[in-house]
Amino acid sequence: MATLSSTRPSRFTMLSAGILFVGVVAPLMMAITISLNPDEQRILVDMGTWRAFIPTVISGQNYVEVWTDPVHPFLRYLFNTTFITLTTLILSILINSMAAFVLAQGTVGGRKLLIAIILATLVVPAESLVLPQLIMASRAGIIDSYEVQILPGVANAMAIFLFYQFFSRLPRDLIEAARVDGFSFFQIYRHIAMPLSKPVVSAIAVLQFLEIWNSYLWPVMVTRGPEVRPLSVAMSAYFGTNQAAWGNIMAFAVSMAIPVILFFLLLQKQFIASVVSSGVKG
Amino acid sequence: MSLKSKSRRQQWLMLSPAILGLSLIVILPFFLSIWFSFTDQRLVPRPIPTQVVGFRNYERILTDDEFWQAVGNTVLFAVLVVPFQLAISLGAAMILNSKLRLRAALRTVAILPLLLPMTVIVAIWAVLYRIPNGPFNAVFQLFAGSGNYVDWLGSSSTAMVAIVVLSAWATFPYQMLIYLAGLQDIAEELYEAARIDGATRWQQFWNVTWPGLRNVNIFLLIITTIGALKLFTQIAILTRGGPNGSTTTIIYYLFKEGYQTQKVGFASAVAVMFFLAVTAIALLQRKIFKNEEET
Amino acid sequence: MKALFTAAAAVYGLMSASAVCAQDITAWVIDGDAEKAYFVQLEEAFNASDAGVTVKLVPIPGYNDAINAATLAGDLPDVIMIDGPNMAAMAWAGTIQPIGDLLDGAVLDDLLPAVRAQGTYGPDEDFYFVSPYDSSVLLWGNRAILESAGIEIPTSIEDAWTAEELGDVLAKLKEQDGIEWPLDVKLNYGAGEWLTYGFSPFIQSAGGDIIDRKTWHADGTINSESNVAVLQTLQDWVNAGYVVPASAGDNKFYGEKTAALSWVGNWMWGAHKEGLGDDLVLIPAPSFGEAGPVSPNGGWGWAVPASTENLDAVGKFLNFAMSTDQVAKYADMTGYIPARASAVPLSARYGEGGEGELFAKQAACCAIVRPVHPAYPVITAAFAGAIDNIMTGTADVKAELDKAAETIDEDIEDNAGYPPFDQ
Repeated sequence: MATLSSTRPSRFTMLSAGILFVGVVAPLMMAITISLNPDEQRILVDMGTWRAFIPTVISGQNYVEVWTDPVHPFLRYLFNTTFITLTTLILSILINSMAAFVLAQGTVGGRKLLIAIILATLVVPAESLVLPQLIMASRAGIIDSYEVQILPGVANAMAIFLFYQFFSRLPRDLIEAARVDGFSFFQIYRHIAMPLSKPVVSAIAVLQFLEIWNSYLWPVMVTRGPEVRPLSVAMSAYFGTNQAAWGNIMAFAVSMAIPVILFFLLLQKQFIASVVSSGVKG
Repeated sequence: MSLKSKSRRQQWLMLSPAILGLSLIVILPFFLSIWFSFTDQRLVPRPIPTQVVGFRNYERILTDDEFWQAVGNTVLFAVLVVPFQLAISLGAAMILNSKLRLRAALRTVAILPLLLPMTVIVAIWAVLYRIPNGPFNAVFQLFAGSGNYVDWLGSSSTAMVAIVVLSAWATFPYQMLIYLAGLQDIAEELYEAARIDGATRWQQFWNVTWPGLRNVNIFLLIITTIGALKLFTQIAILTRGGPNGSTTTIIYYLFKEGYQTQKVGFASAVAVMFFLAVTAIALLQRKIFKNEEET
Repeated sequence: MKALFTAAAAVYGLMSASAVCAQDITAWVIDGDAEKAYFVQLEEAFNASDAGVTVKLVPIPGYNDAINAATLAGDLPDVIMIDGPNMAAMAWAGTIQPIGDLLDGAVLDDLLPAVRAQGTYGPDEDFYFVSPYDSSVLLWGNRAILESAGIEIPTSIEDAWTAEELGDVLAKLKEQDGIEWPLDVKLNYGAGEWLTYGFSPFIQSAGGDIIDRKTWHADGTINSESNVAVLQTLQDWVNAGYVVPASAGDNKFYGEKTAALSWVGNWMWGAHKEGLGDDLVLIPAPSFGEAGPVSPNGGWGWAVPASTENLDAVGKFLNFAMSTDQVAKYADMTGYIPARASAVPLSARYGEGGEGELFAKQAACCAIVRPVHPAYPVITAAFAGAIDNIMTGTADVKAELDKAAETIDEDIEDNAGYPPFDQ
């Protein structure tokens, strides 16, 4: 562990730390403060003062309104996003790790070529593919479903690549020993390689989690009603149709943010390690 | 069946879902995109046949002022946001790497923006930028006198800058964490040696920290630039490309032409050019740094 | 893993099971504050009637994207709401089917002429769309502010303000204490249909239009000298600080009262009345030239997707929704003008001597229907985009309109003139 200077942080560091803290916290405090205020007029008047940042009224009214609004079923959206995210993650980890294990330790021909192709697909920005994907989805009749939101995230070149790097470095002896013990190729993957790959799994999980939880362009194009819409699209529709109701908008925003923040607080260590490993290896 | 061929079969089975998935999600759409770009394909079928139109879509795009404005805006965004965001991230990482008390708590707080969905962040910042009395304008009025305000998102001269600040706030923790890891990889002995030589903090930064972050910098420069070129969500919700086209980006232009006005053929040509540009920029950046390394 | 899939399948099954029974129909409605209460009422009233059909009205947030996605999915509900001017594009593409046979003759005969024109598709002269209401736009004023500024308020369409007079009024108001921007033209609605609907009357009032309705060419019409002059005037007002900017929000006129005039449609009736009370005054549309005051018309209404099969049930619902009683209710609850002649007298607001009489008069004398042509989505996007840019104050008016002309003509050409509209 290295640090820039000797023992105590300088005044400059303390000041910068203060600015960092306020810079991040102030907008969040504002969102919370506004969400707790049921009086729209008051919110507008207070907006330019300190009262926009520190709650002077505490009421759950906006939250109740948001959670019980029949047109914007918040809990449904929350379920949709959670379901889509978890399913994608599980499938992605399963499918990509299997493929990567074959590419790293398998014996089938053409592996080099496949790896080259998979790496090449990493260069293609997902955004440039949405229109043909949309037409394909429409022909396949899966628009406005969970599948159409799950499938695009399942086979993921980045995940294959991260798993491939990891599996390539597994000691040969270990694999050989398992083979001698009569393990089939799949069993080696299942009982030896996977249990060892927890760090990669969590790195991929975190990266894809952020990607899917935040995705907007694709879901906005493929969802019609509230049935399968994720929170991100619902939030923007809510924001669009209730422009005047800042209290409710912020209650929606805060309700949407809290599950992720809780999840993060539980898994903070893994989270940070994952981001860092993605950076160093990717 | 021999053991070997059984293992082969197993391997193909394990390989095929991912290969099939990538073919359907990336490879096939990629070639479809190229094909569509030479046709007048529409999103919803229409009663007249779709035709091959040669390079017409490309010609029209290249002569469309709005497209060039979108390109200009996207480049402007990248040029502004990349250094700004990387500077904030590095600064924050250095604070978190100092011997500050409560630094773990500060780290937790600093990561929060990364966890918030962009749609939530956009709503919060819409309030911050509000006229005439949002918080930013309240601060502005301290200097400019009451009654004055800046229409941050509503005037063409400030809208892109407003988007830059918002975007940097929204995603800086990612780069911050990677910088933090980079800082922690720099050996303490190097700093000690520098201090013995009487280096000031500033000199320590330039002679030890900055060179030590070289690889991290290259990596972050590339991914932050590519991320910036894809700017979309903030624009789609907050400014819809306005005012006066000043925040239309390439992806927003693509979305508008391909989805809202349903001209898939035309928008596919935009997508193909976007792909070429991103690839070129990524290769160029990599090459520049490679050359630098060799000299 | 398996459990997860089972759960997924269960959830999925649950959701698709909802729309099976043949006598249940689903209709999508817009998610607007003004309409919410009406739709709740309509659903209850229809389901309580003895039609033997149950309707489910679903308000859809983000309506246009949802319709797009549903069209792509080939999964539209039995009945949808569409914005009137988009009817031609959907009929041309075969997305919606004719409904003339589903509606009672009594309903059809009773519709206001402009409403009928909006629902009639040129090529087969059949009826594809029916709206329970008509809309109009005029200047809403804050009497207290106007009077304290010494401004004479026109009361009839004959003495509507000219552009010049309105300019003077705005200049006077700008000087008043407490007035920030005197005129709200709802730029906060963004670059959407409002900018075509709300701004084409200005150019039409000076004798212009957004497209030649005989040749279906935009060049030479949308960018005519007269149009440029009118929009230049509006842009000058923006630059003089007369116009509420887009990002200032919705309530400058009826909430904060820092604007004294508002150019907006009758859907704001409730909000304006509540905010201003007796100070609210209706002022006829301004006249920019030879054609005199012009107001837009039309609005959202019912259409039936081509895929809908249980037309019997749908017909029952449409006739119920278009009954004199329901049409009058729609008008009273949302502030719109009833679409049936027989419902107008029932309406306290729009009948003879009602406080909204001016609306009805204006709708009768001065309304111009938006072009009924399959290219309308492109026409409106191009024109609204131009207006959006012009109203920021900086864009060159002529250049913006030239660009719009090119976009529109290019689209019509790309679609081979939208046969049979090329005849």
